[in-house]
Amino acid sequence: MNSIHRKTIMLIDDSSTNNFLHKSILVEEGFNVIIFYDGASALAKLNHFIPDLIVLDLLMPGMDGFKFLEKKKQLKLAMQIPVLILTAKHNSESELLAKKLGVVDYLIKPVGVKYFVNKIQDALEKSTAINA
Amino acid sequence: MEVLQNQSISLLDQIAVLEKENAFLKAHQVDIIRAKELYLKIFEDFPALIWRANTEKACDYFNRTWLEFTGRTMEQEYGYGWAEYVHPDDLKPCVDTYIASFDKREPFDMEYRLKNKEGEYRWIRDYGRPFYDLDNSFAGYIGSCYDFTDSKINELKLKELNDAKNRLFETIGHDLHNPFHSILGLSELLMLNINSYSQEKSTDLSKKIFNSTLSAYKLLENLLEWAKLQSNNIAFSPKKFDVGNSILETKEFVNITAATKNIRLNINISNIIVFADQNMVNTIIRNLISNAIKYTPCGGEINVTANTIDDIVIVMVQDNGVGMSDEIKNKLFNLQLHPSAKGTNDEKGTGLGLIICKEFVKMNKGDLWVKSELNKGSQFFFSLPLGQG
Repeated sequence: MNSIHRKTIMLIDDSSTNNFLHKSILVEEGFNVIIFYDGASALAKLNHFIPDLIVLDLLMPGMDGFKFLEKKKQLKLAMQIPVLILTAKHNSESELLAKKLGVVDYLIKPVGVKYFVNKIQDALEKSTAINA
Repeated sequence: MEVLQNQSISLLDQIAVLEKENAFLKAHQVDIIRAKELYLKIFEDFPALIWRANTEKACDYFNRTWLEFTGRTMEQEYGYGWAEYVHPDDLKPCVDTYIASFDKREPFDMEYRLKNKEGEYRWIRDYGRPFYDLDNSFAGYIGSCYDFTDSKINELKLKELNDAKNRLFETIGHDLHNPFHSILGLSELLMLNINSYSQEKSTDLSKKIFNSTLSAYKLLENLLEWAKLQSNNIAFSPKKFDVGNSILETKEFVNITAATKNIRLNINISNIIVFADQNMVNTIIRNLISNAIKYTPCGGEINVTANTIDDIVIVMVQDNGVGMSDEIKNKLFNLQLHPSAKGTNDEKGTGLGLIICKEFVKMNKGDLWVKSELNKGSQFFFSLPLGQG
């Protein structure tokens, strides 16, 4: 993939091991990856940087995933960026709340490598179709 | 003449009969009054708070038990006066239930807090029923109330513990999913790319898989120990053994983790024989040293020492890691407050380990305590009885 046309994915997870894993998978697939360990610093970046997709964990110290989603909605530049949740939080209330806050998909850890890549591609295609 | 005589006898007889009847009625009137007073006294002395309301919902009677409980007069309680001593948070639901039941002529029972004469709110269970007079006409409501504060406090404590347990299981579920997500993902990645990855990258992935597996294993082990503790299903077999040996055995277990963070683990314990359950002591030591590694940055140092004082030994695990604030320190052994924090290398934890340690030390007639300073490090101490003789 030509680096100019590479899609950029923002990973937000407080676990460095998870970030390493997701980055390794996505780089293999030809994506650019930018990593954040908490919601607040990722949100600050979104003021002047627009990734193609955000992969977001929910349970994080400080600003959690839900708070991040609420704040992101208020950012003019960032409100259209699709978000895919990747979390160990396995309950229907969280999924419902996340979907209400506009996420394109909700994945529960653990997920396999191929499944993860497929879901990333689906999310990107969905958002491209919506924005076309 | 004879007729008159007969009439006067008859009148006298009638007067006599009437006098008898009068005496009889008087005697019974006294009985009725006494019976009424007796029933009233039973109400007054009944070991429950009793109230009565008229057909307009206004209370017009409170027994002595009620008045002694609130320390107020009948006049103060009349009408809706009683509501002044109901806890503000319970007042609306209490009045709503009362009015709704009253309007439907249905019985009710409800719980609320009522202030007693000492100013303390007590939990009251109030059973209200409509009552009907001798003509079977609706005459209002009558109610009896019981102070069930002790069982309510137990119920609230139980609920609190249950909520804490549910929160803990949610956290454990989360903390187990996370390392397994890493283990499965990293091993799949390695499997898919084993031929194309460099030696360096493969080694790095293997290390990460190992650390995630260890983290999941430690959590699982603590969870199982905790479950055994909760069900009182834990074997307790104290015996004499060398606590120094237990510490050295634990060192083997934790050395790899210490090495990945380049942490120096110094163990300085001579032969000290204690009388305790060896498995429990191993768990305590393993948890304390693992925690020290978790909260000590790369290149740090951990010292494990032991001192005997009279008939006890005090083991200390000291690190020069991140330490704790007083706020965290005070919550450390309380499952409900759950102060678990991440380690310096992203290690996860539920806070369960220290709770298990505290219980185990207690079962072995010892104590566990901590000294810590934020950004300077922590010292965990535990005591055990010496195995004398």
